[in-house]
Amino acid sequence: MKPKIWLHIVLLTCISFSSMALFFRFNEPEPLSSYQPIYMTRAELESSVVTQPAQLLRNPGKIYVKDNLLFVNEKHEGIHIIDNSDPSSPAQIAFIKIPGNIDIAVKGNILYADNAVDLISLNIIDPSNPIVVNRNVEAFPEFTPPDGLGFEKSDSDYNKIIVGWR
Amino acid sequence: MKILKKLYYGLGILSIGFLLTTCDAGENAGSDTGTGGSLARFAVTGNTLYTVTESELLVFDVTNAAQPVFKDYAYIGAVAETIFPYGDNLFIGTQTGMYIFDVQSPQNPELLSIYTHVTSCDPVVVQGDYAYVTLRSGNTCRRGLDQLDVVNISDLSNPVLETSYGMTNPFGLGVSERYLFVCDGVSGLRVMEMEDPVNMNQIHQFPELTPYDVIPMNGILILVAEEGLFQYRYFDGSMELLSEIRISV
Repeated sequence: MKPKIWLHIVLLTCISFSSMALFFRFNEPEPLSSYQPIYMTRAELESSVVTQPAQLLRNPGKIYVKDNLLFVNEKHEGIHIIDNSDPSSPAQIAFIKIPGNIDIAVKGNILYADNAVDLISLNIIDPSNPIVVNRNVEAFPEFTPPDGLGFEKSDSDYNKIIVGWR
Repeated sequence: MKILKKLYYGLGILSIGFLLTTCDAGENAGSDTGTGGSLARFAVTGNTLYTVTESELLVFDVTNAAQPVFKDYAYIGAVAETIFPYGDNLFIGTQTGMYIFDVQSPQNPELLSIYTHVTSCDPVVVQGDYAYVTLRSGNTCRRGLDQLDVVNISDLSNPVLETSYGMTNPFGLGVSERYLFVCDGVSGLRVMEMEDPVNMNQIHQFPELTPYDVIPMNGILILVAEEGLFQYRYFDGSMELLSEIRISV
């Protein structure tokens, strides 16, 4: 009988150690991103969209065409509106400041854009003065770091919204 | 589940009714929407706005354009990055492959097939029976390859790889009739002529640019690059620079 008990004890110890090892292995924290988030409060985000005079391109992102208008995203900053009726001489009309903007789509006179986690609709019937006409709050998930690594908000930032990274 | 089923039936009946009553309006609605580049995560066709998030395809009803209404989402079991609408289908580029959805019932996207490949970032554009997919390594796609895949999609439920072309680090791409434009990182813009998509010839390369995405339309190529915004006229194998707006440094 005695050797059998010892065998069980050895086996059980082995099993528990290996499972512990596995547990810790899988719970090893993901490497953290070196990017720092740029935050806005909800109130700040909802009053963040404004039309400005045409601006220089700095870090252009996605592009979108609707009739004679050409839209160029400025990564995480907003949208350049360009009159492209003559592709030999495109004319910058205005810049819509939209923090957290990446994407653009247009139906009729309405431009859709992501304003960080929100989907906003702007009336562009006067492309020199687009006006926000609707906001779908939290239509999209929050941004993740550009390097694909881990990030967690601190408790004090829990209610803030990430509009970009630096 | 029962409620979900009823919801789907309801949506189906609604959309059939909608199609029947607005067949003529449908054509106009199509031209009422604009065109994005291959890296777009937003696509609006007819009365529906589609967006992809990391793991989902979101559906918004934009019958009233000024007031999108969230309708539904389809779960995509992969990191989705781009969306290309073509005909009654959506072609979604993910980090593990191209997902083809049927959107004949616009608010009820139905997954038809998945063309899988090794982990890569991959925008996709479509023309006729072929989908063109660029696979890119680097950044969040560390294990990927760098190549252009030509995929036969004549049977949408069974996409088949026809051939691949080696690339440096491709981002966006665009297709227009017999030309394929590929933004190939530090190798610049590649212009491929493709009377036969399986046997393309590179006819131009602009290595002085680091292009990101393109929209070819009516003989004009709109190109966005790290260096700025460039427009070319493409005609009969020639590329003529029309304008440029350079970035400020």
